[in-house]
Amino acid sequence: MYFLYFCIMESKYISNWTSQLKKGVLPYLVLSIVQERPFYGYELIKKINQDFHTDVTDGTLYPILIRMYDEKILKYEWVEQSSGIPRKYYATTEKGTEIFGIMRSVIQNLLNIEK
Amino acid sequence: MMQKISFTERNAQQVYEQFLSNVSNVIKDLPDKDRNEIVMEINSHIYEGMESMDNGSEIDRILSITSQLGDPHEFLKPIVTERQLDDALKKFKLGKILSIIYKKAKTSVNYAMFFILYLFSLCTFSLIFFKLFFPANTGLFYSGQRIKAFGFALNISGTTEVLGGWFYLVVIAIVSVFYGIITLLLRATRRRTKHNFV
Repeated sequence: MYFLYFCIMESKYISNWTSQLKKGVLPYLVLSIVQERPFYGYELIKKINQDFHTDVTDGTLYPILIRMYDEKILKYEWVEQSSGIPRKYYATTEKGTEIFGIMRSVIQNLLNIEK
Repeated sequence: MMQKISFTERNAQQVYEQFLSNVSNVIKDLPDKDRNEIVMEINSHIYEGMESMDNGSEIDRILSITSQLGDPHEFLKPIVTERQLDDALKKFKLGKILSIIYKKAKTSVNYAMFFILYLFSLCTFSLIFFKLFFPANTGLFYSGQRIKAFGFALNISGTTEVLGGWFYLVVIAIVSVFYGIITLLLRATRRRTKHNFV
């Protein structure tokens, strides 16, 4: 019985930790993707889930994109489409590229410590 | 004017309209520009999602997209709260500031401190009403050359109230300066801590 309780508590702890970790790493993943070229929201979310297997809920990403724009880490441009429904393309800024470099070295340092 | 998506299936159209209406409802207090941006972005997301799914009925696809987006109230709440607080701080709207930081105070010591400071300035402002209803017991009281009390005092024997009608102006001035300082301090604190992304 105690073992079952321990397993449930542990799995809950791990699931909370995993969720926090995924959320925390999202700005880094966004920046790493938009270094390549501008991406629109839907495409960006699918790319993140596909490349990094994050299973992030689509809605979670939009507040993060808005905050990154507020911080001038990302810029965006609405691009008209033949469908009449424009796409909002996100691209990195100079500050965003700098921050991406710093984030990358922080992550590398962390992983080195783990080794 | 944003172009809406047209569905051939009536129930899919209803789900789409309902979802956009929920989004609009959640962000109704935001400035026009922010509102339009968010609705356009969600609309674009739904359109791209519908286009990228090759199979399945429209209703299945729209339900899958909206469930992947999640409840608008949940995923837009952080942005709505942040924008509202920024706007309230910019325009010095006390009521709005208090209601937002009260909610934030439950999970943040920093906001709890600011909430107390705002309450303190509100309490100081209430001295105006004390002066209206208890003029003899409210004011700046001197005893000899020393300040004995400022505000509302029950025991005023041996003291002289020196401000009279000027008390109202002094209270308003103190509260304005205090309120201004707290608000500017909160704005500065938020600018420093806004780098938290999640």
